[in-house]
Amino acid sequence: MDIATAPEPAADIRPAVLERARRGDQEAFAAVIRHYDPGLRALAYRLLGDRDRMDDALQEAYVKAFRALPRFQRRAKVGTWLYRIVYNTCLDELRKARRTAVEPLDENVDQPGGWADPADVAAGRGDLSRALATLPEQERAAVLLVDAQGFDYRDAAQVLGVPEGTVASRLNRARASLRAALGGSA
Amino acid sequence: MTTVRDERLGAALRQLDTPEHRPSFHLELERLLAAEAAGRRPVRRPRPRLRWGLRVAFAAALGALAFVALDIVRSGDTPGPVEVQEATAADVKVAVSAAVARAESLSGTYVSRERTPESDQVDSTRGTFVILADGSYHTKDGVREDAYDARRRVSVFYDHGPGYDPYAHRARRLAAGPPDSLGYTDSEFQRELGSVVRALMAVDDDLPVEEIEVRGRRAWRISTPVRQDRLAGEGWSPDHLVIVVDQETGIPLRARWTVDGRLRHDLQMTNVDVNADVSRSELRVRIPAGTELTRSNQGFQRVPLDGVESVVGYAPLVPSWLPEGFELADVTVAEQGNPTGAEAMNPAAPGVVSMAYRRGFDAIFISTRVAVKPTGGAIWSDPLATGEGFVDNPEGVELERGALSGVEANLLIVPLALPHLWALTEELVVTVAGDLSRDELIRVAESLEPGP
Repeated sequence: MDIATAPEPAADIRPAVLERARRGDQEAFAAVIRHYDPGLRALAYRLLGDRDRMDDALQEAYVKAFRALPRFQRRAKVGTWLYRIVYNTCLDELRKARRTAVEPLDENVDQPGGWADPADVAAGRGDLSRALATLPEQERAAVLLVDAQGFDYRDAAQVLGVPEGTVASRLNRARASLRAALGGSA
Repeated sequence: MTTVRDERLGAALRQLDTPEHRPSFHLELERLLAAEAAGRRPVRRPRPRLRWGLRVAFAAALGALAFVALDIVRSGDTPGPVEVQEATAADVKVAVSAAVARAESLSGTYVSRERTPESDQVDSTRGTFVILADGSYHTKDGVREDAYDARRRVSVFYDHGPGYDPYAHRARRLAAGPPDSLGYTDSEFQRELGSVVRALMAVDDDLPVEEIEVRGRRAWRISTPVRQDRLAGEGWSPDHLVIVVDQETGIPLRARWTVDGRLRHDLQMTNVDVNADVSRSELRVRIPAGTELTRSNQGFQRVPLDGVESVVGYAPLVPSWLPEGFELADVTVAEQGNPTGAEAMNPAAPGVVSMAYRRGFDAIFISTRVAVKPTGGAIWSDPLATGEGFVDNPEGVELERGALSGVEANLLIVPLALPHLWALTEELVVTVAGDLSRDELIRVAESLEPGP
C-alpha cells in the first residue's frame, strides 16, 4: 500500500465567492459546495453507510448552510463550518433512524453503518470498512477528519464541538480499534 | 495542541470507496435552493414608520453629549501613562455604559489588525464607519461597502475587490432584530465594537485603571486578563485585553487583544465624531452600473402591536418591565421565519414576532416563534448561539413570574454573542436579547405577558 501523507483539507474558498454566497447568490453557493463536497461526501457516507441516506443528509445540510450563510461571521473557516453542519445533520439522521426501526432491504445493512462495499472486500479493505462502521459515530468522525482528511485538532474540535483533548482521546480509541481490526497492518 | 496523525491508517481510510451522488442529486439540490431563494423574493416595500436599533453595544447616559470631534492616535502612537489615578474599572464602566445613551450618531475611521497564529501574518483593514441611533449604519473599506437603513429596513452590500467581478446584494423586509436579522443589520465593525464593550463590562469593578493622555485628551486604560476559549486552539484565543476609553465621551477608542504578549487583534478608532450631523444620504451605497445585483426578501412586515395576533395567530409576549428609558421602537412579524441557531440547526418556524425596544444606542430584542417539532430526533437549541465552533455553556434559570413562570430558561452572557436568554415552552420559543445585565435579562423575561 502506498502511504501518502494526509492531504490538507480543501483550502478555504475565495473570499469574494463566499461573500456572494453569503448574500444569497445561488451560483456562488454552488461553487462553495462543489469545493468542499468530496470531503463532506466521504464523511457523510462513512457516518450513514448508505448512498441515499448520504445524499438526503447532504441535501438537507446544504440547504441549511444556504439558509445560515448570511449569518456566518467568519469566526471559523467556512469549510470547518460546513463540516459541522454536515456532521450535525448526519447525527440527527442517525438519531431519527434509531427512533424509527426500518426493515433493511439491503443485506449489507446488517452491519452498523452497513456499507461494506464488495469492491472494498475484494481489495482487502472490507475489514477496515467493517471495523470503522462499528466505531461510535464520534470516534469515527474524529479519525476520518484527522487521519483521512488532514484536519488538525483545532479544526476537528470545531467540527465536533468538543475540546481538542477530547478529539485526541477519541482518536486514540478509534485508532486502537481500527489497528486491532487490521491486525496492526495499518 | 500538536496534531498527531496516523498516516498509514489515514492512507487506508482514504482508499475506501465513497460513492458519487445519485444522478439526480444536483438537480434536486438546485430545486431545493431555488425554493429557498424564492421564499425571499422582493415584494412591495411597506411604508416605514417606526425605527429600531440593533446591537450596538454602547450603553447610554452620560448626559447629553455635545458634539465632540476627536483626533485620536493611530497605530504606533501608543499612549504613554501619565499618572495613576484612583479611578477603578467601575468608574469606566459607568462612563461607557452611560456614554452614548443620547448620542444620535457616531462616525469616524477605524483600523483593524489581526495576526493569524499559524502564518504569523498580520492583516490590516482600514475603513470608515457611520452608526446612527436608529440602528442604521454604513461601513466602507478598500473593497467592501456595507449599509443598513433602519427606516427602510433595507440592507445593501457591495463588493468590488480586485480579481473578481463587482457584486452587490440588496435585502429588504428585515426583522426588527436578532436572531432573525443577524447578518443583515449588524456590520462586522459593530460586532467587534460590541465585543469590546461586553469585554469591558465583564471586568472586575475593583480593577485599577491607568489615566493616560492621548493626543492631549484624557483617557482611561484598562488592562485585564480574559478567559480563553477552550476550543479555539493554541495561539488563537486571546489571554489579555487592553482597552482605551476617552474620558470626555466615554467612547472606547482602542482595544488590543494579545496571546502570550503577542498581538492577536487590535481595533482602533480615529477621527471619531460623536453626535455630528449625519445626513441619511451617507447611508447610501452607490453601485456602479453594470454591477451584478441580487435581491432578497426576508419576509418580515411592520405591524402595530395590536395587529400581531391577526398575523401569527397568538398574542405577542410584551414586557411589563424594562430598564428605565427603553421604548418600543419596532414590531415586525413573519408568517414563516428563517431557521435560527448555530449553523441554522433549528427549524424554520412559523409565526415569528420580532420586537425592538430602544434607548439611545441600546436595544432590547424580544422574539417569539411557534415551537414546531424539529425533524428527526433533533431538539431546539439556542436561537442566538455563538456558533461557528464555539460551544456555549449557558446558565439554567427557572423563571418565576409572568407568562414564562416555571419555565427553565437558558442565559448566556459572553463577549462574542449578544447577551441573551431563551426559553422553550410547549407553544413558543422565546428570546430576550440585549446589552443587559444577567438580572435585567431575567427580570425582562419574567415580566412577559400576552399583550398588548
